[in-house]
Amino acid sequence: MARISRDEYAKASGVFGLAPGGVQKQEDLEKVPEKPCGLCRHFMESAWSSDGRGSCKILKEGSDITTDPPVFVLEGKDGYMLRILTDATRCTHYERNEFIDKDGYECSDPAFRRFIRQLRDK
Amino acid sequence: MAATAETVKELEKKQEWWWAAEKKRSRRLDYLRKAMWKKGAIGGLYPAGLQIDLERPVMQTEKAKELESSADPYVIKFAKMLAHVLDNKTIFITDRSQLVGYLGSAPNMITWDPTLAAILNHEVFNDPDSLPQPLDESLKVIRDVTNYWGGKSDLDKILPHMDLGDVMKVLSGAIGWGVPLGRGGYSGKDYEYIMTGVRAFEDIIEELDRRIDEADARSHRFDASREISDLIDKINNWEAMKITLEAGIRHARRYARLARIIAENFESDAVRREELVRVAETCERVPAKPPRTLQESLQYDLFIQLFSRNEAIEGAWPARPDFYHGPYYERDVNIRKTLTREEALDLVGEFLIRAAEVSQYKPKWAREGLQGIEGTWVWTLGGVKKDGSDACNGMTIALLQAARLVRVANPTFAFRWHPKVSDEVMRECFECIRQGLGYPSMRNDPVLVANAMHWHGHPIEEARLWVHQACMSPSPATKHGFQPMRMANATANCAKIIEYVFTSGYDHVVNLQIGAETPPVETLETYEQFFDAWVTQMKTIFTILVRPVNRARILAPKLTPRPFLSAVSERSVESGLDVLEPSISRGNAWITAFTWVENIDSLAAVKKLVFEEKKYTMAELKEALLNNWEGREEMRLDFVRNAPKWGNDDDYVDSIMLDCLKAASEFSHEIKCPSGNNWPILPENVSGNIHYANIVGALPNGRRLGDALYDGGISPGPGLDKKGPTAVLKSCSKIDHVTNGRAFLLNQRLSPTQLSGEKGYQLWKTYMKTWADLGIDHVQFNCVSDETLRSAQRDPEKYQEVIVRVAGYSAHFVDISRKTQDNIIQRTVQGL
Repeated sequence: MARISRDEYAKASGVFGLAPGGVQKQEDLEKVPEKPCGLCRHFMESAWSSDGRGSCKILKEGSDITTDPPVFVLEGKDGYMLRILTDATRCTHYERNEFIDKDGYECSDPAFRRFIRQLRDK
Repeated sequence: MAATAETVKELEKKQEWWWAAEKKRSRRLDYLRKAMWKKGAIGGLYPAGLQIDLERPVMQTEKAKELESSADPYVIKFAKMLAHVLDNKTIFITDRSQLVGYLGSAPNMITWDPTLAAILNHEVFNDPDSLPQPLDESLKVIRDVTNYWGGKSDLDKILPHMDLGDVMKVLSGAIGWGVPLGRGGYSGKDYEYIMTGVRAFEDIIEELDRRIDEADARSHRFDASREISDLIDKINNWEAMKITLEAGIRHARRYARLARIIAENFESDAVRREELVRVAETCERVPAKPPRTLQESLQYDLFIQLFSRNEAIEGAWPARPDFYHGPYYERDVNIRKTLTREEALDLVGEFLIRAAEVSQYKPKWAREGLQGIEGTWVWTLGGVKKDGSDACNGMTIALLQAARLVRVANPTFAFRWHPKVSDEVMRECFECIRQGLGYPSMRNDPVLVANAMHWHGHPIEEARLWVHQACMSPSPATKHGFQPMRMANATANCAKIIEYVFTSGYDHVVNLQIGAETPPVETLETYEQFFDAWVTQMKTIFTILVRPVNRARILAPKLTPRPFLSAVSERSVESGLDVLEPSISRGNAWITAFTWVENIDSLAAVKKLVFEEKKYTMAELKEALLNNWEGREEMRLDFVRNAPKWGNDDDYVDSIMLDCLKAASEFSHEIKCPSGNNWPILPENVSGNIHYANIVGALPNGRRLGDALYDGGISPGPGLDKKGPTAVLKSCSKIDHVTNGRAFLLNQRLSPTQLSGEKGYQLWKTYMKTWADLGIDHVQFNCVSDETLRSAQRDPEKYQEVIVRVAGYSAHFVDISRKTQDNIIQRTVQGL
């Protein structure tokens, strides 16, 4: 497999909050939009962590729901990476999830668990 | 509460060991045990009352800002930051305690190190329950600290130097966990250097001064060479080591001063005043000078562990407390008789409690994978000395007895069984198991000494000094043998191997191409082709996980140095190189193989039902798996019931286990660590089988997405070992426990009723003899009845103290998620 380019990495790592230049400020992470991706049934939290990373089960790499108009790429391989608090107001694929696990103490249920403080009362 | 009127005997008869222990232990131990805050997460979240400590991150950030424009190299800046924390953090002494030291500023505080990873800091910010009140003020502090460390944390510094494709796949969390960091993982210690009573911090400082002076003189001769240039780095490293040791001595003396202040000004009880003076004298003595008594020895060890955890997140606690504290126990209790056995037991019990309360903020995946505990504090007991003679001593027995009194879930013990272990010690081990602690796990010492020599070339005298590096893997606590950091991300979620055979490496859970693009599974015409695809996926996953670890070990000495751990390591003090420098380490790497047996049962099912009986086509099976068996329940049950399963002494499936291990062990010799040594696999699970339940898709063994995975290692699937304990052992004995892998975890559940009385001990002893004769390297037992466990699910308040063996560690039953609880209950209870 070919190695990932630094541009691709920079883009992805911006989402991941990893690259020095792309680290998201906490102020941004505190703004909870009306329709955050974290409450969408198509959002898959990163299996590794609960720092807010994840990907979309519908949209593929190359999508951008933050622009106006948004870009929806439905064909391709790798999923579109985003964060719990990404604003999905413009996403026409958004479907609000029904949560089962209300207190977050049960584990291994990424689609349903409530792990971030900012979404607690949503 | 317990029915207090009942006698110890009555409680023991009812097998309510926890209430019996409460009555049997001393008033001091009872107080200390109840004053302890449990730190393990319940399921994935920290329990109510625990709070993230903001004192330390603020201190680190202030000091880092202050040092930004200093002329110091990074390693010295880092050492000064560590010293700043040790000099200024809040300290306290718990009432009635004789041992002091804690990471946080209060007993309910969990320390958070913001210098490690920006993504960890985001988790702190997101944590719904553990932020101190008032929330707005805490959030402001966290925001400021996190903003400062964004881009400056260890992970931020190290990842751009990695293969970026590997990084993305590792950070997806699908195939492994953890990150490749020199300051986050499992740190061994060079106990042969630091814990033998020969030297302590002042002796090392003296040696460092001498080396600095010599190097300084040498580097200023009329000469210029690479060697002279390297001396500058070495001098910096030695200076950084010295800074941390001096800070350690000062920190201990802060406790001495506090103890004296309390004794002289606040304590009215004369006996306690004397104890506090003894605490003060102890902390004035250690870690500056070598210990002379059991109390000093335990305190010295505790300080070293805490200083090391001020430097890094340590998810394990490799230790051999009976071996290194035993001589002091012997001297105080049996020779000088300055301590009674009961007094010694108080100290030993408190040592367990002090270790149990250690806590560092960890990401949620770690909390889920290690439910109910803070980390794998698996302490090694028993075994042999360098010359091969029995190493058990009075301290071995004291530790096993103290464990039954304080009943902490962490640390747990693993006992190095060998043919010369006395019956007295075996009975003590058995009592712990019978009383439901789930530990000690039993390790076959001759097999594991041979294994350490085979895989990593440890000389026999060093191999005999091995300790558990984490749950299972042996590592000698010697100059070149000890492992300074085992990075957790070489932990493979192996069920993905078979899953990726069906998806050509695409991961449908995290929406990424992670595995190899093997041919579409429906095009594979023979079982051999199918197995080849499995081998390709296995190699791909192992490679993706191992490469970042290798890279991080190479980068670590410069980017993420460990001056304190270096300072207590002979090879670093001698060479001036950071302890993480691979060239001065023999290497002791291993790949933890989570969710391994699913592969074996799945391969057997495909071989039988698809290739041999042709009941289903591969295309049908692929479609059923992609649809999570929906609408194909009958087919699923066929794969569950009518395919052979591991653990029943059935050569059909057992031979597949051997084929898989052979392929993995051959590959283990091909991939090398930066020290040039091998990467053997080690099947075990902790509670990763629950963490990964929703991350692993449907499998050909009949498992659905979301179902708990097997409990791990080479343990058969819960309820799938239908032919009794001997059949399980016989299946396991077909594996070569020296050459097929590093170690193999085996969970067994035994009936508490059957183990009662002398007859129970004799039954267990016979079982253990069979186990040893068959050359199996590990076994651990759960010995709590279904009835008790179900009662604990119904009425958790009443059963707070029930402990179970999860996998590689023990936990209080009420602290693990419902899914994990059910998984333990489902395990087959073996009648002996």
